[in-house]
Amino acid sequence: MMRAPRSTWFVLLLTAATCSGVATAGGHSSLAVVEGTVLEVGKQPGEGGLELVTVRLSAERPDPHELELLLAPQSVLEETGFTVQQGDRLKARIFTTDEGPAAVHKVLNLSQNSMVRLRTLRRIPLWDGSGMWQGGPGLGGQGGHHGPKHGQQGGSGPPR
Amino acid sequence: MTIQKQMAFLLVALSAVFGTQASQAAVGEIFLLGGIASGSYGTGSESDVATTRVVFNTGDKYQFKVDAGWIRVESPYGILPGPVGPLPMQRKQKGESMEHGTGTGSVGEISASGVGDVYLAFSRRILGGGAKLFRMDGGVEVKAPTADADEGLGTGQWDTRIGLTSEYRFWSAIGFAGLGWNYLGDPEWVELNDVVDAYAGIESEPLGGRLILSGWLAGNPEVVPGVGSRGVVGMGLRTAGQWRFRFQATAGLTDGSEDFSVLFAVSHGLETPTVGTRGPRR
Repeated sequence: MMRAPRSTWFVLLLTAATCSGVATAGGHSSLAVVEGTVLEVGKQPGEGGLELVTVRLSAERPDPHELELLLAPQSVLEETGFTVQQGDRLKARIFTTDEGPAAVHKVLNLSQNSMVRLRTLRRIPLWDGSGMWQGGPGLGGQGGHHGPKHGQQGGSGPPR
Repeated sequence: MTIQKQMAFLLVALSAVFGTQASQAAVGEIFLLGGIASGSYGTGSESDVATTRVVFNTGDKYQFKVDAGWIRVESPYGILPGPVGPLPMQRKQKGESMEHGTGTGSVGEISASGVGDVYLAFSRRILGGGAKLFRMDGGVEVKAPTADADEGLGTGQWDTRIGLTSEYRFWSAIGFAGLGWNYLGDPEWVELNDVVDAYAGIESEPLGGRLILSGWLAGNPEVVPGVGSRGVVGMGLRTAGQWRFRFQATAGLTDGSEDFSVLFAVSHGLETPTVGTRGPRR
């Protein structure tokens, strides 16, 4: 006979409250996904006055056009192992509310099978004022430990 | 094992962990977890285990983890839901020697609490990682028998697990899987099978910026002959950020599984990420 402990309901309510608070805090910029071929790689000043790597993209989706993408400091790309060069095919989620180069939330290099998330959905860069990567151990992705953990008694354990 | 020995072991383990952390520029994370696992295992009566644990986990390429906790066991048939299935316990009466046996019968009711076993794990990234879509890690995990076997809180034996974990990052989700081989020390009263365990699942990207959902299947062949194999389905919710909340629930799919387990955790990243207030913002 299975009985649900009170603690189950408590943690469910607490998690729901935490998540609803997170979801409603702050405003998000508009986002769009573009996909295309890299025409040129360059640099220009960006957040915090740091010099950021930019990419001029010949986008094919959602409609054919050219646009400039604002990636991250070279040091961040080097630390995460993300590289981009002319001719690479990129898929990127970008913030569309800016004028000038579009800041990139997440970029997938289809030619090199690599992906990195560079900013939060609130457009906060995942590097510090000196250009050092602060995105955590899940470098390109969601920063995470996930899945079931094999270990201690009494629960499925912390995700790896 | 005496309390003094347990505390000495913990101090050595923690020293090793913090030494490892200091020697690499990695992001550490401290977990505080509370969990409950409950199962009837065909006996008609539930065996419950509640845990409170502290886990320290280091960064990316090399990871070192120590998992130490406090557990409370309530089991009318002396069954402890273990990491790879139910384990029969035998509580030793003070002043009496423990009887030898080979089965799960007449082990007696257990209602006890105390220090749990300590798990030490080391893993290393062996393929991919960083910005690459694929990643594989290999590692070894050792269970030190710090739990009091005489009280029915553990087997009193060392266990070892050697395993591989891998992940593949899709555009909006991560697929993950793991495979391990478990060498389980045999207590006096039962011979445990050494088994393979496996799990596979998928995790979402942060929804609404911070909420991450996951689901998985996990299982292994029977550890105690006749008890049956273990199979569970699990789901999890967690948040991203410096302070991370995590909730997990599993349901058993076979007789050799706990009926359900729930786990709630709060963790803290030791290195402040830019997310929040520190980073450049415009």
